Amino acid sequence: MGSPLKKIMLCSSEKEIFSVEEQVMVQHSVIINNMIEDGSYNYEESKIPLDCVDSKTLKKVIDYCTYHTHHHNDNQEDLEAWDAQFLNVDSNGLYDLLMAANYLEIRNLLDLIYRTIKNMIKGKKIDEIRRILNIKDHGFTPEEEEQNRKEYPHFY
Amino acid sequence: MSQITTSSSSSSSSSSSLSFFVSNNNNNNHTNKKSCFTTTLVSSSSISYLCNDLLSEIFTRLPFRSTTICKCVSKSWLELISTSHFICQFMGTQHKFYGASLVFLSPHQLMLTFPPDPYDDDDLEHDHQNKRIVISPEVFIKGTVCGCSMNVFLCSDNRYTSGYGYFLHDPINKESFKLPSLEVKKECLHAIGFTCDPFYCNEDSRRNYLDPKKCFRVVRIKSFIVRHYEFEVDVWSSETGNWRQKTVILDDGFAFAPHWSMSFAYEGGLYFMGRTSIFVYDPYHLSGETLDYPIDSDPMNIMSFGFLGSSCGDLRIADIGHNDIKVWELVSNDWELVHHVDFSGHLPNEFCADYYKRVGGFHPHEWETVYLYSFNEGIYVANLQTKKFTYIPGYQKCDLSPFHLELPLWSSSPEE
Repeated sequence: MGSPLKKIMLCSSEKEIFSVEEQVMVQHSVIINNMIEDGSYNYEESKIPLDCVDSKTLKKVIDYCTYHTHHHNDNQEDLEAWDAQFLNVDSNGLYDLLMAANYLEIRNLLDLIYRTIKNMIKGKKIDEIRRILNIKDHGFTPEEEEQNRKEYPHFY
Repeated sequence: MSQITTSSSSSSSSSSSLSFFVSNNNNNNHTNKKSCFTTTLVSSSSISYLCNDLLSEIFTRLPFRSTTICKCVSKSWLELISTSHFICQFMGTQHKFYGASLVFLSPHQLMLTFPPDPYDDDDLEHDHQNKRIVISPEVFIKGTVCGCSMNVFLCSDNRYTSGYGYFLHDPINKESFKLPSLEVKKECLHAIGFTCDPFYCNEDSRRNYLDPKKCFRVVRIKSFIVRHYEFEVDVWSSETGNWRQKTVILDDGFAFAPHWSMSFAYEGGLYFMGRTSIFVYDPYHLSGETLDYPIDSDPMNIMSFGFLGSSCGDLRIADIGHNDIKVWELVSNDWELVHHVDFSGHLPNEFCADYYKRVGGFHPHEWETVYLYSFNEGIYVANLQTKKFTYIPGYQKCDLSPFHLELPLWSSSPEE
């Protein structure tokens, strides 16, 4: 396990470098934890390239990990309120976060996002889901779409 | 409340994740993840571009009814939700055995339910270990259960080996459908099989799923314990609604075991365990062949106390001895021993000493988990990797035979 004072460098797709407390990332990201444990991270020279995570998203991810590291003793309600505020982003931002969390294997963030998207879908009808999730091309032919609407009118 | 995703698909060992970072070698374990990323770079982050792994994780958290609605949202969602892999994952995630309730009205009458939507009630405490679910009477299945596929049961209003009185029961729609009767010679035992191949009617798989009476097959064979090289098979098809008879010819021959008359449905085939080999019948193409048991295994013991089933989409056989359990997996037509665990010291002596202990089933998507069962001691969940054995209270003195613990898994709350 890393010592609390050590810092590690993360490099976004724009080649912007973020310096983060090692402990913060080790606690949350399975992949970074593995790297540190393996000793494959060189504190003098290494920076971890995250070619698929842009700066904006990476900053959000680091915010999440930092907050949850330092506030893990807070009561559940406060944490949930913070999480809700944290995920108050547009749907594109949400997908970016989801993919970054998946890439870095940050399991509690993943679960949080999964549940958030689930709640966006749950109990909604088809047209609403398409609107909320910004699905423009559903891929059905006009005939198929018409058939679906005829067959399951209560779904729309 | 656990915030950790229980999905096993994203687990990775430390060494392989390292190579993921520092080299460009395409590691098979991570190809899925890589593909997630290629898409981000190309797209402007629309949900349509999320890879199927991530979408599946979202869909498996939805109530059953919402997943059926999602099938009409987009064609790629329809395709994803229609795969057998997804269905397996969905059922496996939502319905762990911890939450299941099984009540046996008689040795062969089974009632079972699963609590609604574990992911829905974030405030609810998940004390599945000690809490039994209140069951509404509508979920009763009356009759002898002798098969299940795609959330539909095959039942018999008689002994299931009698060869007549079969009906299909859909617990979601609460509908039953009686199969036409076949002529039966007196006192003949029959082996029975039931399956649905979701890919068979892939031209219209969506409608098929919503109307599950389609594309089902029931197979009935007059049982024989002397080796036969040629015998008749009756196949009922849900498209025609009729039975037809076909002759099967086997070079090596086949003999049923006197006490084993059910089959396991796997990838469109029905697997009947026999005395020295397994008879695999494909009711869609009306062809049959035999499959050997694992080398050095004891078929009669497997039939009595072991299990034939599947986990993570692979066909598996388990056998249980006095103090050990073995699990084989079918890899390119050969049985490969994947687990051999000595459980003495891990399980109570009473359980180990129970002659009638048996393997109850495999977990549908956790490959290291099997269920152990004995009439007197009840059910244990065994993790063969960590050798952790967890007791599930409430199933002592339950006659779980002949139906296995690998029970139909469906959402109990389609209507929310």
